Amino acid sequence: MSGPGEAAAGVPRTAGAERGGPATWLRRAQHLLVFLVLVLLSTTLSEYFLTLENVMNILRQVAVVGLLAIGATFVVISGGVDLSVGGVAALGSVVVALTAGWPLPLVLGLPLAIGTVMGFANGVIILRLGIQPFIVTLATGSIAEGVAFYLSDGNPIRFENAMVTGLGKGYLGPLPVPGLIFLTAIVAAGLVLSRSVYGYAVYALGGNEEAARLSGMPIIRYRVITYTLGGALGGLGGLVLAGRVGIGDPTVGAGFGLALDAVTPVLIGGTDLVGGSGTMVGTFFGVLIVGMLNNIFNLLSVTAYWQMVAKGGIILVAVYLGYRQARH
Amino acid sequence: MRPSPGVGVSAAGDAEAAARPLFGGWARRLGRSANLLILGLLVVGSALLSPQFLSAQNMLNILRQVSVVGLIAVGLTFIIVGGGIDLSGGGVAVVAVVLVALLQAQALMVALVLPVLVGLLAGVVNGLVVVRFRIQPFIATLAVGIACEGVAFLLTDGKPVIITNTAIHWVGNGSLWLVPIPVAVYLAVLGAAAFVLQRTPFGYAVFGLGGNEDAARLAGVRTDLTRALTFVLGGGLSGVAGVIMAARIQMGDPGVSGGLVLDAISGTLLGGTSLLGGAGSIGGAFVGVLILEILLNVFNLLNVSYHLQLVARGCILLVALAIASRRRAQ
Repeated sequence: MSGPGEAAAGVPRTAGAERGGPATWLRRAQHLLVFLVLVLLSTTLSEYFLTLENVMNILRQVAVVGLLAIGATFVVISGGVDLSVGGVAALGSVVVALTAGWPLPLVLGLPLAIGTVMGFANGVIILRLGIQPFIVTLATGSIAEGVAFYLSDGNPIRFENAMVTGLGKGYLGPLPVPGLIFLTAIVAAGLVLSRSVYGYAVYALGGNEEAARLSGMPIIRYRVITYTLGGALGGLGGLVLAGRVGIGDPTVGAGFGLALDAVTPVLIGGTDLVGGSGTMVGTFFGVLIVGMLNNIFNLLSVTAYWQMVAKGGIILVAVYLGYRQARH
Repeated sequence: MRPSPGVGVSAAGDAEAAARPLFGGWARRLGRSANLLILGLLVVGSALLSPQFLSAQNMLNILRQVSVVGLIAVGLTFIIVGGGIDLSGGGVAVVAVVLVALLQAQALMVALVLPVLVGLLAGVVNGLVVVRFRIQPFIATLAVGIACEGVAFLLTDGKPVIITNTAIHWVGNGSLWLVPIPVAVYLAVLGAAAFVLQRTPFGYAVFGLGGNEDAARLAGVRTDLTRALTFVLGGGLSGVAGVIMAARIQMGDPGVSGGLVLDAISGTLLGGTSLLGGAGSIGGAFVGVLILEILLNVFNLLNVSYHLQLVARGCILLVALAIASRRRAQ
């Protein structure tokens, strides 16, 4: 179910359709509107908000969730969902801490490799069992989190590795390195999603899998690639996260809290949870909106517990608005 | 409902729904007896592995643990048979846990009943967002669950509150004749739920809803109301589970929800309830939760670390999913 008319015709939305149509523009403008309102609101709430330092701070803070959200965008557009990325990121961050003294390629490569393998496993299990992705990734996510707890004995592990901490909290000029990683990744991902054959395939999988199958698309391969990509970005998120705090922490997945954090900006960005529609630009604004909300909460010293309650509400509103848009 | 992306899921689901009235009886019986066999083997194996396993103390322990997870699983069975899912059970239970502690100075009935009412209320919210706003149950209940956990932390400012009221202790650890009270509550709920699901119009409506929603609607079932009611029931039973948990651990701890939902889902699916809806039984959920809790109990007796148990829980859920998928293929 995507734009008006398209759902009825059963034609998968393609990037071509993405570009045109007043409805799509309205949809895009809507995030922009929310974004601008938030910026205005934040500036009036706190004069500190629009300083370069705070903006860069926000960019640094959204990097990890942003990386996970990139993966979630592909997965959700393809009609799936991945609740395991929080566990994968936790495992990645613990592995980074445990291997901090190893040769650099291994330190950087292992969390990525683990994420890739976990994502691949997600895809294979989901397709093999023919079971809803949310429940399979619920299981694999808790396995990953359990392994992270086991390897670290449940304690955060402090580590020293200049390269990793550089990735997590370094600066290139005024730009925070994690923010730079996020921006690079999302631009690349946006191009892949809107310009490549694989990107078209992702829309087709979520829009009308049967049509995609009949048109000769290797749908199993594309689905597995999508989950693998999500897992790899989860691993990368874990690496950057570990570098940001200098600690490998098994609790960062927060049950399924982090996975939900990764899906929220995707939904806010107008990607419909039933798949087949959505844009990376939307996710980018979604990430910024969530980051700004958190920033405002912190500036106003809203407690973490209230933030949990708010988080639940924001998701419900985002999904509901997505549903309404899909219907009209 | 849109069929989930996967190979041939919708076709298998339709076939299953169509086959249920004809073959549901023996297929279910076969599934159940296979589970009973597993249960028997598990008990014998556990007794051989650990001499403490068969002690009366340990048996009562298992049963008490089964009652908390089992209560959530009873609600889940209704919801899943009706074609939904509820991931908020842990969060709802933990709000009830905390409320019991905060209300312990009030009359006993207030301290025990109000948390259940709050659970019902959470169920109403779940039901409303699912049927009124058409949000997929898994994401709606995940969001409600996280919000509930936030509320639980807010209520106690993140700190556990000790329960000193001995009447509440008795609810968690006392016995009626020889039956521990949590177990008595669980068995009573099991009996009532099995009757409602298998012998009343509401139960038929739930099966119809999960089996073929359009057909159920055409047959006069008020599908939205029925689905919402399954969520309300689930919320209420999660509340009851929370009250019993609070009484058992004698503490209103906002951090105890971990693993509850996963265990309840695993138990329900192990018991033969299909995640696609339209098939399942309360008795199956009982046996499923029993199998799961015995496994976890043996891990404890064998000193398997808590963290490895987390891994095992995820693996058990995967196995339950694989079994369910195989059962469907047959």
